[in-house]
This record gives sequence, structure tokens and C-alpha cells, in this order.
Amino acid sequence: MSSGWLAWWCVGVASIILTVVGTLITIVRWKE
Amino acid sequence: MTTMPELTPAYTVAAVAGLGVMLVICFILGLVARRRAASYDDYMVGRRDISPFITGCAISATYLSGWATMGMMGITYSVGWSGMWFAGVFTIFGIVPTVFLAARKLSDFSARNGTRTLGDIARVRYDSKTASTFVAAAMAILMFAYAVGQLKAAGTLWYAVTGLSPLWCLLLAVVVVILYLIIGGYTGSQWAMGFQGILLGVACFILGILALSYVGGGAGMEARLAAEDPNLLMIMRPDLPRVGSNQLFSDLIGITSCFVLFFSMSTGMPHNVARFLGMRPMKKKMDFIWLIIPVFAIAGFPIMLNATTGLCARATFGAALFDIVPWKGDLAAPFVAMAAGGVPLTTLYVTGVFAATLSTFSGMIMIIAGNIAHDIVGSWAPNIPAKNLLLLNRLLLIPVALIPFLWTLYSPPPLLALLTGQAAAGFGGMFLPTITLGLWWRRATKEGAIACICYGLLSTLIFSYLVGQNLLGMGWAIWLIVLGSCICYVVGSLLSKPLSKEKLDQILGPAPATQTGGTVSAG
Repeated sequence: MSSGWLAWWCVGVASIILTVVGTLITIVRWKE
Repeated sequence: MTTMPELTPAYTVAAVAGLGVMLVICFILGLVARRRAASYDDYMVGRRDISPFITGCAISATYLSGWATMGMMGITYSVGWSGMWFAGVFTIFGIVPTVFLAARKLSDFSARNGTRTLGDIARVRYDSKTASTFVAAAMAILMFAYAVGQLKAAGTLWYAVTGLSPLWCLLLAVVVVILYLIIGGYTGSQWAMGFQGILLGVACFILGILALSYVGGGAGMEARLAAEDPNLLMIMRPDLPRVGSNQLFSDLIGITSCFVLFFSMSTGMPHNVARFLGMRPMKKKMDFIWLIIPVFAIAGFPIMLNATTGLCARATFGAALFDIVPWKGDLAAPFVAMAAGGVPLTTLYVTGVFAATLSTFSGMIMIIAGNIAHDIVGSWAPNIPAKNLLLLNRLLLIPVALIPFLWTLYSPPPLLALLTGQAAAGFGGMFLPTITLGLWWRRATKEGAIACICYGLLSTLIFSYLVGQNLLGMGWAIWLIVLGSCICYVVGSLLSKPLSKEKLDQILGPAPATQTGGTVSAG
């Protein structure tokens, strides 16, 4: 895999992690 | 290398039909909303009853502008893989934190205090008409620059499918936006934007996949790029100058500044966070899930693919697009759509970009007009009846849209992403602290907000000039604008007296520590 595609996929995976972890934190701390 | 796609009448007819269908849907949504927008409040923020899902689609549409759906491809077309940092791979790192930081806070604040605009929020939060006026004026100035990028994208599109002159292409773009805003108001815009968000996400995703397939997949694309210029494969281009906009591709300061830009600008962009003002208050956890799902689905991988679509265009056409003025590299995406998918793909893509530019441009025009009518005129002359303010707001849409029209016609930016990027740095620097962080940080004061706005606006204008003259790198400019503005906000706030605890409790709600019976912190 070229460095361009490697970097592209790394950022993509990091985006998923950010969204999932951030959502989980928000939900756990949620006050109705 | 492929020759240029031939423009046949079928492209024009299909693209105009696609745009027509999209606009009819948007106008219907606007007309439905119009029957309900009886008061100035209704026009500006609807009835604060928009669902989180529609809000998620709408904020994606306003965030993803002509820069995202066309400018990003122009960047990677021009410089190769090293352009991807500025071409949207960090998009999620901006929009998702915006939802975490601003969605519930702004929605609750707006409902609690009856605020209609972001200038209103500044007035109430800092208890200062002066702070509100600074915020409203600075927003309007930067939004004109950002709006130029949207008009260039819409004009480029009309050129790609009709071949008409720049005057007609831009005129078509601007007239549609004015009509659509006069009819719809906030609710109409919000529903139309929600629809447009879904459309542009689908269009970018399908274009990205088909463009890659057309050039023989990821490996085939890179083989063609390597044959033309191996530098196009590098993720950082030290061969390019470290001054001017090229710094975004040539060194670590430039590349890291792209992350800072995306992180700060989404939360700082008034037309983005304004989407939360009309959302119904989120009571349940599932409301938040319904908000975040469309944001990730639209602004995630579909937009990351834009970077590779630009590379596919370079692999297909070589450097030939640079010769087509004034559109140049911004033609990368429409032309690769024509080459890779013919009439059907081009129609889908053109409709998607039009949706993106329309939603962003209309969101901005509405805010500029609202800032002038409500936050400046209404704030300093409070006796003007709401009916007259509504009329003034609607009338202002026309001159406010004409300024970017004339700017784009007589002085179009070479690459729209670079102009919008400079304006976006100013948005991030000024409004991430003053609007969003101000709702979290109770120690913030009007002095801090005014210092932040003054520094942010001046530094954006000065550094943009220096970048344009190749005297400063754009990476340094972004770092200095965003960091400097935040420092001014914090230092200015710490050196001045905050609002009383009672006042803060009234406008922000009780501090968390107070609610649980614990010690109230100083922060």
C-alpha cells in the first residue's frame, strides 16, 4: 500500500473511533 | 491520458432537469414552511421543533460547501496526495466535535433565552450590545469572502454543463438563492438543507467510487500519476515553496494547520451552529444518536473520497484543466464525472454540488441579513416593530447576495478552496471561543470576546494579504489566527470582571456543581 492510501485509511479509522468514542461518552454522561 | 469530455446538449438538458427537480422539492418545502412562518421569530428560527435527524442532515449540508464538493477535488488535482490534508480528510474531526460541543448547549440556550441569532447569543451571554455588534459585523465581513467561494462553485458547475459565459453562470446561481430564501425562511431552509445534505453525500460517494473504478482502482490511479510526476504521490511536498498557500502541502506546519483549521472552523462557522437554534430540545439519548448518524454518514467517507476523486481527475486529464480559465482545477470533479459516468453520473453530481453551494450560500446570506437587521439595527433601535424588521431582513437578502456576485464576477479566486480556507480560519479563531466555548466557560467575559473578535478579524485580513503576497505561509497564518484568537479570549476574560453568579445561572442555567450540591468552581 502506498503512503497516500495508508495515510487516508489511518485518518478514516481515526474518524470512526472519534465518532464512536465521543458518542459513547456523551450518552454515558447524558442527563435527561 | 484521456481527452477532454465533449459537452453535448444531453448534459445540459439532464443537468438542468436534475437541478429543476431538486429546486422544486426545495421550493415545496419552503412554501410549506412559509404558511407557518407568521412572525419574525418563526422566520429566523422556525418553531424550534426541527428533529435531530433533519438537523444532522442540514448541518452537514451547510458545513459541506462548494469547497467540499468541488474545491477539494481541485486541490488534490493540483498537487496530488499532499493536498488531501486540506482536501477534507479531516472533515469528521471538525463536524463531529461541533455536535458534541454545540448541539445541546446552543439548542437549550436558545430556547431558555429566546435568542434568534448568534449575535443575539453574544448579547445575552456577555450581557453586552457592543459584543453582539462586534460579533455580527465580523461574521458578515468574513461571510462575504466565504460566499464568493460558493458562487464560484455554482458558476463553475453551470459552465461545465452549459458552456455559458461567467456572467450568466453566476447570475443563474445567485437568483435561485435569493428566490429560495425569500420564500422559505429558517424552517424552509432547514428542511431543504436536510434534503440537500443527503443528496450531496450520495453524489460524492458514488462519484468517488466510479471515478476510482474508471482509472483502474487505487493502484491504477497511482500508476498514472507516477507516470506524469512522481511528486504527485508524496503525502508532503518539500519541493513546493513554504510560503503562500503552498505551505499547506509542503511542510509539517502547513499539514498540522489543516487539522487545526478543520477542528476549529466547523464549530466556529455561524451558518453551521445556527442550525441548532431551531432544533427541538434534545431530551433523550436517542435524540443525540439520531443527530450524529446522518452527520457521520454524510460528512465521513463520502467527503474523504473527494480527495481521491481529484487524483482520479489528474490521472485522467493530466494538467490540461489548468488552461481553462477562470475555472481551472475546480473543473476536476465535473469533468471526471462526465468521463467516468456520462450523463447520469454528471447529473447526480451536479445536483449534489448545487445542493451544497445552495445550502451554504443561503445559510450565509440569511445570517448576514439577519445580523444587520436584527443584531445591529434591531439591537440599537429596539422600538422598530418586528414586522418592519422582517421586511428589512427580506429586502437585505438582495444587496447581500449581490456583493459576492460582483466579487466573483470581477475578481474570481484561482482556487476557491484557498479563499474559503482563509475565511474559515477566521471563523474558527473568532467564533469557536466567543459562541461555543462561551457557553461552557462561565468565566468568559465581554472584554475577552471583543478582544478575540478584534484580533481574529484583523489577523485574518492581514495574514491573508501576506499569504497572497507569498510573504507568509498559510500554515503559519492558520496557527496564528486560531491560537492568537483563543489566547486573546482567555487573557481578556481573566483580566476583566465576569458576570455575577446569579446572572450566569439565569442565562446558562445552574452550574453543574451547584446542581449536585457540591462546591462551585471558579471556572
